[in-house]
Amino acid sequence: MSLLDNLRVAIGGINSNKLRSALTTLGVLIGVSAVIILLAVGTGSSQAVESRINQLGTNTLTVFNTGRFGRGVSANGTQSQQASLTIADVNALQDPNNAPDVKSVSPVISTTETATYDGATYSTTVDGSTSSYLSAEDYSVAAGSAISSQDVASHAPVVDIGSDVASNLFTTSENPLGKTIMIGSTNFEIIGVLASKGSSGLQDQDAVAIAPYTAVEDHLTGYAQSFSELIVQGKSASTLNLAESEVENILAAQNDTTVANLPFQVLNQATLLSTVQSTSSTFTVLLGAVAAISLLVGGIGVMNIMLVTVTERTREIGIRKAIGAPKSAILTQFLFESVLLSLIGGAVGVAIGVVGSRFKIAGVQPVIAPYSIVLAFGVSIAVGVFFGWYPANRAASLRPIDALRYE
Amino acid sequence: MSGRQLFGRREKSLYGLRPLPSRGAAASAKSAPGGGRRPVVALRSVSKTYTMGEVEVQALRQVSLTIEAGDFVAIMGASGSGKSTMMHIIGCLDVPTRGGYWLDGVDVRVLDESDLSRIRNRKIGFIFQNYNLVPRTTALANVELALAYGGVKPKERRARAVAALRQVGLEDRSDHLPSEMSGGQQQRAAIARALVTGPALILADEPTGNLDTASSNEVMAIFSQLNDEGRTIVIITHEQDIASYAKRIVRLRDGQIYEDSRLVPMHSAPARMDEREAPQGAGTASANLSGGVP
Repeated sequence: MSLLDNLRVAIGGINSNKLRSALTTLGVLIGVSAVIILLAVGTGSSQAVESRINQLGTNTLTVFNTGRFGRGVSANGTQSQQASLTIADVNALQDPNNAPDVKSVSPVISTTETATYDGATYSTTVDGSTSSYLSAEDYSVAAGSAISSQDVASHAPVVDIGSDVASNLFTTSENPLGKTIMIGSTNFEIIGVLASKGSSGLQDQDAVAIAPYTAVEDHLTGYAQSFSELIVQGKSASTLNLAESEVENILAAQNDTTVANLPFQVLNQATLLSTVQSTSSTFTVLLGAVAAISLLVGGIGVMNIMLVTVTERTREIGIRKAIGAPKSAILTQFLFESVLLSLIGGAVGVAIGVVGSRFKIAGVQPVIAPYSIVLAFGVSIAVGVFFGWYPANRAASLRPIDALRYE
Repeated sequence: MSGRQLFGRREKSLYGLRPLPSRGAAASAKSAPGGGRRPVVALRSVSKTYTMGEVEVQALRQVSLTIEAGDFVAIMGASGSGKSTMMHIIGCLDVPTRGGYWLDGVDVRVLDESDLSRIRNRKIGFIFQNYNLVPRTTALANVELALAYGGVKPKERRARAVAALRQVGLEDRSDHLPSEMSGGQQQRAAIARALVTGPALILADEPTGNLDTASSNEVMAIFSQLNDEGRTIVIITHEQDIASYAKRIVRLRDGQIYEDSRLVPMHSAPARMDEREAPQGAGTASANLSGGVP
């Protein structure tokens, strides 16, 4: 009895009750496709979140004044004055000796204003900053030019507008470049239009207008002596943690305090990313576990049906044994049958999983993890062997006279 | 055809069955009884006890029986006489509780399960009352199955299976499923399956029990023919008419042999060969039977 003979017998067994075989296969099929699709959803959503975080800028640290977030007074309560992020801090952070891993520091004054052009109005975030801000925040200029250090020095009322601002204030046929729009009560000249970045999930990054912080202070916020935040760009991703400690030390020295009592919060993009990654990997594992349970249930279905099949074919097993089938031949025959059932389920499940992952699910574009296909397919075969073993062994262990007597 | 020839001709089985103990070894270890001419079946003081719940049932009590090669034996007895148990033991489907059994010179007591399945495959051809063909499997595939379990290569398998079907006059039904054949045809396919491996013993359990008279006569004619060709046949039956085809009748009652009578000498033609051939002239069994059943 060659393996081919066994395969033929197994196919015959599966064909003998097509509906039942199809339903059994369906259990494995659903399990396998669920594993693939749910892991793809998990992978897709974590990739989406990661790309949003990367949109926040490249290798950046964000320094917030925690005073603005209601934690202004230090723990020991001796601080008499609200700490602020000043231009002196910015200059200190740009010292290449104390902060060798810092590439640039961009102070940001942020406000929300209404922009008006020719009767059209649009509410937008206005970020006052310096020339390094655009590259630190990963903005690129689609048309025109970015604000320059000269604009900052000269308090020039010029602005780079985001794509949403442009599309809301101007018709498609109009070129915003060189036009003057009114922000608040001041005219700003548009010198550049930014390429679209999409939403960060927190805010629409295209509904933005970026102007020199000097001009924003002069015309919109007044001279506040304090920046909303500082965007610090590190020299590389690998030295971002070094840059973070440098920034903390410098700010502590500047404010006559310790790093522990620093009235500012330094948000490290890499830390944020790893937090999000660990969250999303937990999410993916949970989804995978749910899918694995359905695969397990499918496997139990295979076992159930194989037990029924063995009982139904007890007599046939007796005949085979009487004409000289060894135990191993019966075992192989039924094991082949269960593996074949789960293999078919696995193969069709992979196909459905791959096709199903092409569609958006709950707002997430699934990304198929290649390992999940190998895993799901491999597990489906293992399920066939594992859950087929007991029924097959039961068949193989039947005593021929008992099996022949079975009615 | 002797067992030694059979084993020499077979390929090694796929399932890695150990070779059976050689006849010489078995004979020296357990000196097979019978002396001189080697018997195909040698039962020595065989007892079989079943335990059914609390009750012990003695199905066979101290039965001794020797069947020589080339004999045609009918084992008779009412139900409960122990003839089915005897058939199971002779067929290596069951083992004696006490006593010894040598099949074709091999001591069955020393064999384990895989050896027993091998010995069933090589030395015994089974024929059952209800045909016991594997369902959903053509006549040809059923016959081939016995060879497949013996590890015969597909090409040789096919040739030998076709030859066996021809021998029982069923070559034109080889592609039919059991469900598409009459009882007589199914039983003939079962006979082909039993004889295709060239067994030392053909063992038939009520082979005509489910057949009408015409089919019964055809089947018995095939047995007579096979015996005439030198095969050893044991038939279990309760019908005197069927038993009368045999050369020797062994009667069982309450698990013991109470009568053992020889109808026809060992080396003459089977009892009803002439009767069968009389109306149909001098043809062979296969020639006579090929057109017999619709």
